[in-house]
Amino acid sequence: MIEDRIKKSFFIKAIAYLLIPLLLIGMMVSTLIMTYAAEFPESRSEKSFYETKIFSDKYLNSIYSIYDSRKSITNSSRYENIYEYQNENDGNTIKLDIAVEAENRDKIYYSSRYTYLGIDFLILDKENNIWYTSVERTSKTDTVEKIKSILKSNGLYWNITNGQIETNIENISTENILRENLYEAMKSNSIELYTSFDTNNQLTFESDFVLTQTAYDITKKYYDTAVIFLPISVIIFFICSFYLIISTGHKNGKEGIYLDSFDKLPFELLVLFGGITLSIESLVIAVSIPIMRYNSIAMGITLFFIGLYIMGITLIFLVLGIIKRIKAGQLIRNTLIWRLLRLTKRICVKIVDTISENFSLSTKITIGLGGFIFVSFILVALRNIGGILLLLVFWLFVYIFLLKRATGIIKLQTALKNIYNGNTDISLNEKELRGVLREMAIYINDIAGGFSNAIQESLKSERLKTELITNVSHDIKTPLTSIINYVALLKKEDIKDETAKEYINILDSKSQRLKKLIDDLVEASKASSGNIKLEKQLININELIKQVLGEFEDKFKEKNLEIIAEYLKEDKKILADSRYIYRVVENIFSNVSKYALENSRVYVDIKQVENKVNILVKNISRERLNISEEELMQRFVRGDSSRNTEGSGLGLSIARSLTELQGGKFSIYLDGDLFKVIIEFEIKE
Amino acid sequence: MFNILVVDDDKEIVNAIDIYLSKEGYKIFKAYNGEEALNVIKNEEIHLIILDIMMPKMNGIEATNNIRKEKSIPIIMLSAKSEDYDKVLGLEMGADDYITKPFNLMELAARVNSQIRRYTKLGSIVVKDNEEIYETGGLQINDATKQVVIDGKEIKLTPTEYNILLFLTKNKGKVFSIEEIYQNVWEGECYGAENIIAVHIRHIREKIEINPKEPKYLKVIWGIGYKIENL
Repeated sequence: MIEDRIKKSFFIKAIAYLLIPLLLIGMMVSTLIMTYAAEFPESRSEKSFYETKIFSDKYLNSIYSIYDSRKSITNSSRYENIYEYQNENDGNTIKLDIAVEAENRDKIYYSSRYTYLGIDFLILDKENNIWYTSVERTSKTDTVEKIKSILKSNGLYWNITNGQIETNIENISTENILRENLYEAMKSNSIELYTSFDTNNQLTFESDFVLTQTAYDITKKYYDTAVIFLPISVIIFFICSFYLIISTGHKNGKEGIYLDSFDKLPFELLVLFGGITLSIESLVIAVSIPIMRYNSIAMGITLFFIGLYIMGITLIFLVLGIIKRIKAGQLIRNTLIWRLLRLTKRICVKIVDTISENFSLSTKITIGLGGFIFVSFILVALRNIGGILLLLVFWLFVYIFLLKRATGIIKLQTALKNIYNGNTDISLNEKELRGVLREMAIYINDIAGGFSNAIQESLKSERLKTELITNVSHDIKTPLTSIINYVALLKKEDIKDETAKEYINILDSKSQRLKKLIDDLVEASKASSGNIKLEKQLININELIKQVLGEFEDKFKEKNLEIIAEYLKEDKKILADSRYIYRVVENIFSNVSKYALENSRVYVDIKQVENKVNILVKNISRERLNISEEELMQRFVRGDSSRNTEGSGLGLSIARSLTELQGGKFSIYLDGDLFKVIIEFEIKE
Repeated sequence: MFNILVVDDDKEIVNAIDIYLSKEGYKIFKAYNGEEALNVIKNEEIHLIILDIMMPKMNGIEATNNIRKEKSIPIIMLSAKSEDYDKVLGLEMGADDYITKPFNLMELAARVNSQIRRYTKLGSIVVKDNEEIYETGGLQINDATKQVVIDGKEIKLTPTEYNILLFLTKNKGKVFSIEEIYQNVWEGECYGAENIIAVHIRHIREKIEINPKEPKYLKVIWGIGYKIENL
């Protein structure tokens, strides 16, 4: 299967696995680029950063910041108020108190705290006549004029003196200065500010401009790439993710979900591992930022993305691990909490079992009820809402417990009912039950098994008996055929001797009776063992009796028996096999013709009793019947014990077996010489 | 002179059949298993085969299969098994008749005669124009001449018996209850004659069937009715 091979390919998995974090990072960067481009459409133009409004706005903001914070600049005690510089002539460092120098020189306060603004500045506090600057103090910057010239040489500058703006930056003219207070200050000439942006200097991370400029440059350079890359990477990302979700857990040479040793760790440990790893990786990412700021931006960025990539890999690893566990159905099972709960349950069960083995059922009930009342009482006595809630939970548990026991009892009851009804094919799951119920289940299973075996055994022996009889009778039939045939041939010979003729006649009748006996024997054995295939259909009782009486008319006439038949007014039908219901009625009438007293009456009554139909046949026996009804229906028993008359003595036995096989009832009643047979069947429409 | 092949592994049975049927005027060939039987059929002109089912070497069923590949001579099967299943199997394999052991030689002879008559079309009704013949298997009724012939042998029936048989044969394959037969044959009400029809039917069976207890033509469906088998 190609599908299976793809699923199990380590190579494809590794590619997808390594690709996903890359795609994620790519998607993130692309999204940032596109968002930036949407916010600053200038980034898509041909302008260099310094020509853009982005730059000028930023610059203006810096100016605002300087102006706004001029008070804090002047008030801050952290400003150096020691004027200190290196003498140009001797190179010695001279420390001067500003106050001392006040008359001769400009007072300049230096501060390096404002480098984050990205621009250098020089601002005059007109009240105190003190200059403040962000330009680093060297001998070259020891006078205001020097500082001013340095600022101007930086490249881009913006100065304001006497209410006039002097600048070489686009977009920042007077009109642009909308900030009220600055505008006022400008007008009143109360502000003198020199600023500049060093375009030549290598950008440091400290500068507020660096991010903006980097973002602008990257956007300008990579916008087109990002627009194409984003949708493609999203698609690939989903394909890879989908593939990994589907394929995870499938391994070459393994069926189903394969869990490695890592997946077998408890879930909590996996979470712990993930947490630690992710924390370390976050740390790496966090460290990359100061590296960017203080060491090298390139190195910092590299470190940042490597950290991000590894973090992505870790996350995928963890997510896939969880998916694998879900697939294998191990997410909840393979947790320490679950294991702990199971262990607790086992220990509890063990304790309960040990206790229950040593106490009788009544003691257990006493202890149980006592415990129930005690716990309930304690919880009520707590007299707070927590106690009541606990009580309800406790009662719920007790209720579930009792319900479980009740289900067990019902199961046992059902099983016993089945056995009682003769269905011994049951097996109770003993493990589902506990205590006394389990013991009972074991006994019931044993009894059912025993019954089932006994029934199987008796069925088997009955079948063997039928087979034996069938085979033996088959073997007897062949020689019997010869006897009957040669007797027939003898009878055709011209024999003069009367005695010989009489002997031949006896041989004839006895061989015929032997034949009848064998046939009856086979039929009786089959009927009593149920070894007969029934084809049931609706049988009209009136029709049946009329037909059979028609068959027997001559035989009854021979013995001068008068038949008095009473039929149902309306035809009623029963469900039976046509051939075998005939055999039943035939056997009864055949009995009548053989054993009824000559010149007597025979009554045949068909009656409906509720939804049943009864066929009653009554006659007067020729011989005295000194035998019980039950005995009469046994095989080989006849009303006359001499066994010399015709018949095999199997007729009634066959009739009863066949009736019962077809779902009817067959009974015999004897009252003096009155012989009565009743067949009962349910009426079907 | 018709040639009959008797096949049974029990020599005494074969001999008894030989003696009895020889007296009836048939020429008997003997075989004691299926293979021998096939040899005899190859070499002699045989008109009917009496074939036992349970035999060594080749049993009766196989032999019937082989014979039926080439010839359509009548086959009467002999078997000690009286199960319906065996009968059905025998007849399905191509046997024409079936008789169970222990059998009566007279009955066997009757069946042999009947099969020979059918096979050779002896005594069939000669049909004239505008005469209608109702028939099933070997049973033929000519309503114009009120003639009933079974396997070429004419049968004498009483008018009532004839009417019942004619009605059933006209509707062969269909089952009729006593009352339906009464209404159709008597064309009047059915009064007090509960089992007259049943008695008549038995009489017809005794006349037209070789073994009335196992009828071939007039079947009794106990508790439902009677029918003439559509053969």
